[in-house]
Parts: sequence; C-alpha cells; structure tokens
Amino acid sequence: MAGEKRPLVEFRFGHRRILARGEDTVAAALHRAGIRVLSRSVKYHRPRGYFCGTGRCTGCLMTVDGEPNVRTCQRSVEPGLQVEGQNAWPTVGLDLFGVLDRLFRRGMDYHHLLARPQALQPLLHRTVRRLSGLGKLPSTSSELPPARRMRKQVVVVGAGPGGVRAAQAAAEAGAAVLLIEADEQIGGHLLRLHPEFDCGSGREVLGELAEQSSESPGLELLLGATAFGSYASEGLAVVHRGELTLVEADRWIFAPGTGEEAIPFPNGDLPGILQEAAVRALVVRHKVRPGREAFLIGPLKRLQPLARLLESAGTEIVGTLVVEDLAPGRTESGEAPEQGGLSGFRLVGALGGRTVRAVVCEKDRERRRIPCDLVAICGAPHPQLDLFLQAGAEVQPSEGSMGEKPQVDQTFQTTVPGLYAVGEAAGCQGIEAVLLSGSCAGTAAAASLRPPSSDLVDLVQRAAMAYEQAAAKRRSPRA
Amino acid sequence: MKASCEVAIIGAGVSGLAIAYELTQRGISDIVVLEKSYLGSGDSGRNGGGVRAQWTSAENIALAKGSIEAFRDFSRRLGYNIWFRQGGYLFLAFTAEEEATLERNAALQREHGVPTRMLSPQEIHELVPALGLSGIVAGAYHRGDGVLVPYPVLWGYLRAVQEAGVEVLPFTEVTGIDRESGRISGVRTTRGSLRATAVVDAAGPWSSEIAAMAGVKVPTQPFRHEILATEPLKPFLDPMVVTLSDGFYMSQTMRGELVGGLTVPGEPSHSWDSSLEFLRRFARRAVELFPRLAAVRVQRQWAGSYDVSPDHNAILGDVPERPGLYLACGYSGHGFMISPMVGRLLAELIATGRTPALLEPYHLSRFGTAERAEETLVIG
Amino acid sequence: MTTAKTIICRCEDVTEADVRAALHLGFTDLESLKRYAGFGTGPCQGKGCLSAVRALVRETAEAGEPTTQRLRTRPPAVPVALGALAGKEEG
Repeated sequence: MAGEKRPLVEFRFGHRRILARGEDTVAAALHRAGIRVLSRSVKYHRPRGYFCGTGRCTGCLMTVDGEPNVRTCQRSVEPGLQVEGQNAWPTVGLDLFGVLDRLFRRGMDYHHLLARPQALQPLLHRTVRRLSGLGKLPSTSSELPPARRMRKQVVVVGAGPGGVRAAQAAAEAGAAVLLIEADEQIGGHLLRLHPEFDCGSGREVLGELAEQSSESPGLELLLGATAFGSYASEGLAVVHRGELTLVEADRWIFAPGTGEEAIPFPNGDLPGILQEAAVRALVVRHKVRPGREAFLIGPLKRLQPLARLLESAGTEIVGTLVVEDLAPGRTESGEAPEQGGLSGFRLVGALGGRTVRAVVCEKDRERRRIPCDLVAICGAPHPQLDLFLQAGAEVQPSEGSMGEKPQVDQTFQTTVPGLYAVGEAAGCQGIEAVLLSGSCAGTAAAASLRPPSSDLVDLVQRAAMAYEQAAAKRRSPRA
Repeated sequence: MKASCEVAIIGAGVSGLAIAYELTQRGISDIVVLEKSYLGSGDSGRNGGGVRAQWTSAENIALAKGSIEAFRDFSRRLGYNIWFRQGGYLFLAFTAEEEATLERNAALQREHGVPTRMLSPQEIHELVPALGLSGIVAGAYHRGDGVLVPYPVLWGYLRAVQEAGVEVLPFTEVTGIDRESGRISGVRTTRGSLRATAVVDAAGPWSSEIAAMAGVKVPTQPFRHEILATEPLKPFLDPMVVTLSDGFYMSQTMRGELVGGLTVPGEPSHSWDSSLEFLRRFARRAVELFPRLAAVRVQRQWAGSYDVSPDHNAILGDVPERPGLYLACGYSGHGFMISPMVGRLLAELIATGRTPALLEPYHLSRFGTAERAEETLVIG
Repeated sequence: MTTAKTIICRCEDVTEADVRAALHLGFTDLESLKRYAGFGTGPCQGKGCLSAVRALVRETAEAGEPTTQRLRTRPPAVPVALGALAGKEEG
C-alpha cells in the first residue's frame, strides 16, 4: 500500500546482486547501483538508459525473468528477479556491436545499403536478420489470464489531480464513477513534486485527494490499470494487472496528463541525459541521487525548483542553460540570472563514451565544455492525445510549444459527445485550473445523465464560472 | 499537371506503379499516375508483405511464380532494398479434410513448377520449433515463398518511373472519366482535366467506383481486413505460418516484429478503423498456436481493404465496350504479390493492343459469361 | 566514444540527417516522410519524436507546411501483451 515502507529487496542483473528499496522500480534500483547503460539501440547499438521515467520511451527496455522488452522504469522490483540486457554481446554495458555506430559514422541508409550487386543480398539479409530484434521469445508459456467487463455511468481515466477531482465531482453529483489509474497510487505528476521544493505546485493537494477518493461512496478506484484503446461501439480497453478489462460507460473523462517534448541534439541520447520527469521520479519517488554533477537546461521557473531538489539529493549543479522557449532546434539561452548560468550560449552537443561526460555550449566563436554526469532537460509539456484521437476528438494547437490539445467547450466536453478532457491534457496550467477543470467536467458529466434540473444547471454553471474567473485572473496582470 | 498524356493510371499503389514501370521499359513514358492521397496510403502500404506461389489455379500460380522471380531481382534492378526473405509459407492442416485440400493444391502447384511439399508434424516441429503442435495433422510448405517490405517496392518503382519522365501526382483525386465517340478520352481530377488515350483503373478498393465513372460495372466490393505488429523480437520464426479455417497468418519481419492477421467476417466497407474484436481474436489464435507468445506485446494495429471479386481472382485487361479503358483490380487481398507480373502483362496489352494469353482468364467478361473456378486459398 | 549523431527517433535510431535527406527526396508530407525515414514506427509509435520532426519540417525551407499535419493514431496507446488480449471472460 502506498506510504508503507517495504523491506529491502535483492535481485540480480546478470551476475550482479542488486539491493533495492521495496518501492523501487527495476530501472531506479539499477541507476542507484551505478548501472546507467540499460539497453542498446536497434541499428547502431548506441548505449541507452533511463530517459523519460514515464514508460514512454524504449531506453529502459530489458528482459525480466525471461519476459522481453519490459519497461523497467515502470516495473516494480521483486525478490529474486533476474534482469538481463537485450540485443547486446557480451553485455549491454560492453557491447561489441557498438562498433556499428563507428562503422556507420555518418549513418546507414538501409534503403540502399548493398542493394547491388545481387550476390551480396543473401549475406546482407542473413546478417541484418541476425542483428534484428530486441528481446528474445520467452522460453516458457504461461497460463492465460481471464478477461472481464465493467460498466459504470462515468469513467475517468487518469488519477492525477484533474482526474481525481473530476471523479469526486461526478460522484458528488450522484453518478456511479470508476477512476482508472495506471500507477499503483493516485497523484499523477504530483508524485514527482517535492513538498518542500515545489511549493505552490499543488503537491499539498495530494493527501487531500487520496483521503477524499477513498471516502467517496459511488467512486470505485482501479489502480494498476492502463487504458490502451478507445474503440467505438466496443468500449474502453484496459489492462489491469495483466488482465484485459473491457469498460463501458455513459460518460467518459480522460485526464491522461502531458508528456515532455524531447530535444534532439548531437549525442543527446547518451545515458545520463534525462528528461525532467525522469530526474524527479528518481529523486522524489525513488530516493536515488541521479548524478554527481548536473547540467540543467530549460525555463527558469522549472530549473529553480529542480536545482534545489537535486542539491537536496547531493547533486552539484555545475551549469545551467536558461532557455525560456526551449524547443527542438531552439536551445539558445537568454540572460543567466544565477551563478553558473551561461547566457547567450547555445547547446552544441554532449560528449561521452557509454554515459554522458560533458556538454558543449557555444557563443559567438567560443566553445565551452562543461564536465557533468547528468544532464536534465525540461522539455515543453505536450498533452497525451492518443486516447482522444482514437475516440475521434478534434484537436487544436495549444499555446506556445505545448503541441496540441483537445477542443473543448466551457464544460470541458470535447467534440465527441459524452467525452470530456480535464487537467493538463486539456491545456490547463497550474493546479488551480487543473482542479477546477475536474470539478467542472465531473459535475457536467454526471448532471448530463439526469433530466435537467435547476440545481444541477446551477452547479455546472458555478463550476464553469469558477474556472473562467480563475483563468481571467491568470491572464490579466496583477495590480 | 500536364494537359494530356498517352496513359493515365488511376492509383499509385504497387499495381499502378508496376504498370507504369513496365510501360517505361517498353519505351512508353508519357504517363501520369494519379494518387488521391499520399504515396503508400492505400493497401500497398497496409499489407503484411507476404509473397507466395501456393495458389489453386495454373494462372495464379504462374503470376505468383513469375513475380517471385522479379522480387528476387528487384533490389539489384531498382536499387532499393526490399528485404525479400524467402523463408517459405507453411499452411497448417488440423483435420483430414484440410490435409486433403492442401495435398490437392500442392500437387497442382508441383505440376506447374512450384515445389510445394507436404510436411509431417515432426517436420513442422523442426521447421518451427515455437509452434505448439496440438491438433496439427500436416502442413504444406513452399520454401520459395516469403515476405518483403512493401514500401521500398513502391519507392523503387517511383524513382525509376520518375527518372523516365513519368509524372506521379499525389493528393490528386479523379472525379470523372471522359469519353468521345465511345472511346476513353481522358480524366477529370481535382487538379484539372487530363486528356489520355489510355486510362488504367488501378484504384484498389475504389476500383468499382472509378469504373462506374466510365459507365462500366466492375463487380468488386471492399472488405476491411485488420492486421497488427508486435514489438521486435530476436529472429525465431522463419516461414509465414497460415491456418485455413480462419485465414490466420503470421510472420516475422526483418526488424523482428511479428506481423499478422486473420479474417473477421463483416459487411463490405471502406472503413480502416481498428477493432478490439480483431485484436482479441488474433491474440487468442496466436497464443494457441505459439504458447510462448503470451508475454509478447502488440505495439500497433491497423487495417486495409481487400478489393474482392466474386471469384477472388483479379480483374485484369481491357474493356471492349470502352476502348481505352484498362482494369487492374479485384485482387482480393493478393495484389501486391503478383504486381510485377501484372505490370508486365498490362504493359504488353496497352503497348501492343493484344491480350497476352496469361491475362485471358482474368478478363472482366467472365462475370457475364462462363463460370470460373473460385480461388479458395485466400487468407488474412 | 559514441559518434556525434543527433538521434531524432530513439526507437528506430533515425537521425536528423536521415529526416533531412528524406525531405530532400520529396517526402514532404508527414505520413510519407514517416514511412521513408522510419521515425514513429517503433515501440513508442512517435511519442518521443513527433514534435521534433514537425519542428524540423517547419524549419526546412523546401518542405514548407506538411500536407498532412498529424500522424494517424493507432491503438494500442501502450503496448499490450498477447496473453492479456487472449483472455476469455468467464461464463
């Protein structure tokens, strides 16, 4: 159960014995043990590791107890697990196929590689095939899990603050609600916030939300449940602890949150170069010091709390590149307000063999090399659109570099009738807006299930107005 | 877009592009290929890349066999790796009746130069150790069959025809076909009109709609067929494995992904939506056949159409009532794998005005006249 | 030492140079570009690379605005095991 301290766990990585905290994920435990290279890339066998921290990328894919392609940043440790690297020889840390990266220094165009002469084709095919694939087919079969169906009036996907508030509001307005969350705890991105260093971020709401959702009758919580498909006329497909669960509902509220935009740059894929969410997951959730010397890149208001968080974990900040509008291709910093900040510099690349050893920045003709073993990049948040798009919702550009977001009306209903979007995925910024969007959508969704009554209309209108007022306050400059 | 050309080809899928290519090989390059969306948006970009010669009629076998030869040589000729891996196709039989069907087909194939062998359960186990053998009675195997990657085939043809001066226009939709004194005179498109002496209908599942623009009834209907791909695994599966009762097929790509599908009965539709029903049915079958696949993850599912004719055989050739109109459609799910041969035969017809013998059984007129045996070995 | 490649798609090891080359060859709409260059076709299905590719396409003078802006989204939103999908409901 979340919050309870679990005993220490021992598992194996290859021949090495790794000691972990009971709450660790496999990747976090390996990181703490100094194992940064977790996998090798498909084509060039470049070293890869912990990067997004949210199960979205493929850097942490390893074989766990014979199961191939496991996202180890999402897999909890268990006593006696056997963890292996994949697609490398002899080991993922020292992979001789890494020579492919050097052999194809300027890249490999497999559309034309050895297309002629004909005689080389069989050899080419055999070689490429041998090198292909990541994990191996498991050597054993397993018992098939059952599948089941569930039906509720209102189903909320995502138990971050927006989703939890929406579920509560819908339950309060009289609907039978199911709240689905992929993690084993509610909280969403709040779980990556520190109570001390992230003041005003909404972190304080976490306890309140947990309390309220467990007390709310009419609100059923399903943890460890990942929604993967919105199928018209078939419902929402969810995998709940390895079992297929088909969910049907009258109203849907999706609160999937955001992902972070990746910023490509030379050697930007080296282990030790992490997205902000990954750094926070390591420090806040897993109590891992992610590196000894960190270089930070991103907007000031994200770098400041991140720097304090890292320092509290024992990491030294060796330099910062404050880039307010950080985006792919836009890595030039403005004025550096604090010591160690490089102003007017542009990120040129990273250096390292198996893990990052330095970043290189440039200004006019001057190149500066800053040694570090951790680079934290705060990419712009992008609403997770998959389920919305699958359901057929229209999207529109989001402000600044936030990508796109679902089109919603004043009650946060999308262009798909009965489907609502709340939270950061709906473009809400700041905890107040997120919570209000949840109240609004939850109330509206539940109210729409009943014949219109003045109470309910009132309720919905008040929720919508509260959101508008809060939004207006944010937009207008403070007196 | 130019105002006139010799040949206008509707559809830049593999069928249309192969025909364009073979025409350029015969010295005809005043061609415009019209594609209503992006290149590869249609079924040429949605199929599983399977190529087989195991068919149930002499002509289908001939088209497929000749195309296999062409694919073997493709990379060298057109300079694009198409990764044609000849790991064979293995058809599985679970009943005595299925075994008899496979034996009959194998005998016919051998008669026509395709050395298909019947395999015992033991031999099947040696060929595909990961296959759980319960219920398998026998198998039919032709090791010259295989899988390729569809896109580079399109790009290879594309580059070759563009170098020869052919115009390939994506995002250009045909809205009408014009006639003058009974002859085809050109097409109307969203980019304007194009005069042409010959118009080829290679429009995949929209073929009958296109033909209707010329007042011709082509009796095909589009059926959705779904397909999926798993995460990449180290190579373990050599042949494409197929079962007869439900059209289940699965193979491993050069990147290590498992790609496969099966038939879910449905009504004719242009829909390319994905369903959970397909995902579950395929998963059940895949895990039944390969129990070790339970922990392997699906990373993507998508769909395409089969342009299905009444006898599941392609509709190829001219339309005597409409001089100037040519059909290259009705492939019923196996157009890609016969495209090189169809390209050659249609090019010969268009260039010389004479129908090659191999094309005759595919003529549209068969639907008004004598009956033709139905192709039964259709999968996916 | 790894060579200084700029990897734009981590799943399939597609570099920025690969995408530029594909744009140069005329694959200027996002769907064709994806198929030629290979980004977005791996396990993460574009979650990690799409915005970077779109930024690159916008920046490249020859391409201008891509003709189709967004890639078609396909289920599953996260990879799902065949065993789970094969599960049968009781009763």
